[in-house]
Amino acid sequence: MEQVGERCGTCGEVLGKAGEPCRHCGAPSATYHPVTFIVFIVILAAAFGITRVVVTRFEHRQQDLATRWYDRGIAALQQNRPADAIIDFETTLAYERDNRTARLHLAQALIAAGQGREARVHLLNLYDTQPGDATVNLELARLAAASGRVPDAMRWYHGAVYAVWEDDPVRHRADARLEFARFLLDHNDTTQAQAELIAAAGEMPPSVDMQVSLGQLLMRAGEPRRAMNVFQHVLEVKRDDADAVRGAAEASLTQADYVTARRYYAELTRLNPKDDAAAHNTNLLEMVERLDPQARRLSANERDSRVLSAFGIAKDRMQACPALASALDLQTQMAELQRRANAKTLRADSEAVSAIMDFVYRVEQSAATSCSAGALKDEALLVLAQRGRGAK
Amino acid sequence: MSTPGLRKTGPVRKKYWTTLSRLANASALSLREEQFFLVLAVFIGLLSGMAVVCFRVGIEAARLWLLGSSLHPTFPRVVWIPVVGGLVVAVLVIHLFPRVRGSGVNQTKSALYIYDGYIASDTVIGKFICSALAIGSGQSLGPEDPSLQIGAGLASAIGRKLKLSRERLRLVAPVGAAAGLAAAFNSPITAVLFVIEEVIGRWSAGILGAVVLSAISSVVVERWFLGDAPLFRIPQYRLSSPAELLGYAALGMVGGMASVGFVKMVAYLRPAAKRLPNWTQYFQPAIAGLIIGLIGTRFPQVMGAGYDYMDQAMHGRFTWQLLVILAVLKIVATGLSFSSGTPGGLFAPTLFIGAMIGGAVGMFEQVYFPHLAIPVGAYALVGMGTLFAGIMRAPMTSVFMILEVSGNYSIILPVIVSNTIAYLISRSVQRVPIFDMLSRQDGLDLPSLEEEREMSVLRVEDAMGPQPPVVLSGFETLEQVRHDIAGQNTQNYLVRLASGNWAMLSRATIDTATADSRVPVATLISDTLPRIHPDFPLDSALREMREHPLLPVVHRADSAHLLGALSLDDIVRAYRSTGNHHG
Repeated sequence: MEQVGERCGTCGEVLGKAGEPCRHCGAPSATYHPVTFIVFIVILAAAFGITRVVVTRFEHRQQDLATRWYDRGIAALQQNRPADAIIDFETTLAYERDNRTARLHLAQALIAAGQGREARVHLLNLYDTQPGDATVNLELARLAAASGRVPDAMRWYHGAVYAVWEDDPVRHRADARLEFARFLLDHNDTTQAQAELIAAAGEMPPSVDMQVSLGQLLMRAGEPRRAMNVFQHVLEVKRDDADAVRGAAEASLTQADYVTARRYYAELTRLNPKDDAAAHNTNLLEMVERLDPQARRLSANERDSRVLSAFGIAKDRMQACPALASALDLQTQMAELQRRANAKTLRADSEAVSAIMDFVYRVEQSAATSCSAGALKDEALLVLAQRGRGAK
Repeated sequence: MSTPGLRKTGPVRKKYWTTLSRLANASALSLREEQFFLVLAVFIGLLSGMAVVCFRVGIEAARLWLLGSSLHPTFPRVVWIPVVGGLVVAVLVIHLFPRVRGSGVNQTKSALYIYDGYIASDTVIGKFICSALAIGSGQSLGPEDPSLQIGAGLASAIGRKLKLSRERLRLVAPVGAAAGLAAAFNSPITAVLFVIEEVIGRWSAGILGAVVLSAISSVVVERWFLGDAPLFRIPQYRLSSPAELLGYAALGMVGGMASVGFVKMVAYLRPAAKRLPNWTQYFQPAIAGLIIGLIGTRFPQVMGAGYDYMDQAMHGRFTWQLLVILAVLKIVATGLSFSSGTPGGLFAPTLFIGAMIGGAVGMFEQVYFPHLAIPVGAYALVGMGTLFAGIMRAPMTSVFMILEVSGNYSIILPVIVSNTIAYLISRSVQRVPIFDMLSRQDGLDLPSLEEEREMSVLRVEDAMGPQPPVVLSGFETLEQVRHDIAGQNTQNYLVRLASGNWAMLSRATIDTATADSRVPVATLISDTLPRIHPDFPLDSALREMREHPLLPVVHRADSAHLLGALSLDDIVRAYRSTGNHHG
């Protein structure tokens, strides 16, 4: 780099002391006095004041415009006009670029308009600036879930559950957990879903709808006992909640508690007389109670009577179904059991009871897949047959 | 120099000012011009920064007033506003502010090289008003170049008021230019590099210091008022594989060709517009505005500077097909706006075109080469630098601009690869850079700083002659020397003194010396010669030739070791043989 020393502005020679004229050409040395700097300061102060006024008014105008377009965007979103909402929120961001809420709403509008890729860009931008924003994490999880990116979705759902919810955190966190559990169940990850649901149960807000959702998900996750607790808790608060009653009935049925299940189905029928399924289930469970040889407080005679009755129903079923009628093994077994199917034998031989009931269940299960629909009695025996295999 | 602000007043006031003046004179704050220049640079920076802040606000206010607050102005407003805006600007330019045409970069260079730093004050006002109106009404131009000229104009006015020396007055305009550009871009390094690279063309400690001070001051004040948020939201980027550079190389090729296309279009349109009858100049900006307005009915992104859309391109908001369309339309729109004589700059449109092309290339590669995991936002960012390198032909500025804007050093390799390729393509196809082309179209013979950069620097080793056959030691007697040099044609003889210094004795001195012939010739020597080395620039050695017709070229590690000798004839011969001159 070229080095420039202190040279005379006229002849270019090196100058001496400040204030002295040039030794070569005698040109006076230019000097600048403090009053010049005072003038500088005054001018700068005036310019600063003018600029301040201009910028302040400009910023107010920008803020007003941002607010106006934001309100338009919210209205468009609420009226389900995502295309208009996109334009409105983009305009908002043109006037207020750091408006996170507007950017989030823009992302939501883009999602609603089917532009997930563009929405993801905005959400990632929000995430980069504030990774602890739970709403952003949740939206990213939903996008990832919709695109089939399961690991990403799980990561974002975790983020949504454990990140910061500013507004009503208990409710939103519980909502996020439930949504996450639903996602896990949809992808057959029952174990992790159970863990999330159990955690959710511990911090669920007192919302009937959320509690019912929790119970339903627990049922899906194979936790009928916990689900039952949840439904019963709801019913303590709101006796006539049909969803809770239905859930309790299903949970009872899954746990083979037919008496309780019938009671709940009966209640469901009372709440909604047009609920044919509930009415049918009520009748079914009454039949189950009548046919169940393992019902509590049954006398030996009554037990034997039920076993023989079940055997008769199974025989009728076999005869009515051509597929079973031609099944040699079943026919052979039936013939063998026919000899033992009497009160005297059953009283003396307890194994005969088991053998006959196993045969009955086998017939009914085979008939359920191979034959036309049976009578209510057949359906009741089928329910009893599934008791041996655990929850439905 | 008289004290500024002192004027004729009544007796009391006069006594007051006299007292103040005496105090000022006695004050230790008196500064020489060079020192004062640095202080002035800060002042210019602050003032230019505020001027540019007001300019940017003015553009936005004009846009809101003329086109409304929507980013998608409605029809017919989107069409007739650019037309009316063009008409008004044309009238203002033709009748009130004839010197505000163009971007402002060449006008600042003209001030430096032709008009001794003079930029008329009304140019500043005119540029402010006309550019704000033009860009605000939708013309496809940018605010940066006008900001550069506004800063330069302010600096020129201040310099004239302070009665700076001619040398300083010439240099004060680039100082203001750097301040204006730095505030417009919110990037001091970019502004400094651009002014050094494209306006001044040389690195000098004195001017560099002033330029840097003014740029920093300007950015400080700009951020004070408008915040320090960057122009764009830059996506995160990390170079994950060297193979990614191939993609950026492809971007460089596409960008280079697009640069050439844009420059050639301006090269054709601008003189064609000038050849039309004079009365058409009233309507040329309006016609450009009409075409842009019609484009804007479908693609409003093309209107104005377009920074919001560059930001969206960097975040994958558009499909690659739309990006290509926007790039092409922006090239057309900017060419029309600029060629019609509408005041406004090329920086922002260049970045816009680059962002669109970069995004398009990135998305195209993303679709057809999905395994490369192309970050589209990074391509848009690099694309901006690529087009800047190809169109503006300021390679260093283009690289540092992207680094400064992104704050991400890992982008440097892709930027260098892409920018270099675009620059080389642009250079090989379009020999004359755009600013040189524009100045020649205007009939101005400004120095081509690109050509100057590429001129080879002659050094002493390129010109020096061999060691002279006779080199005296100073101990020889006059009689001996006269004997030794008898019969030789050499006029000057080098003398190696015992101290390691060198001196020279002319033949005339030896022949006409009246001293005793037995005395050593060293007694005839009055001063020593400056030492030069083979790597010295030849023009530095030329400065030393004023008093010494022959200079010793010595080894840097041993000043007594003579490598050769350099005469004025040697220098002239060297310059003639390389042909380094302006044609």
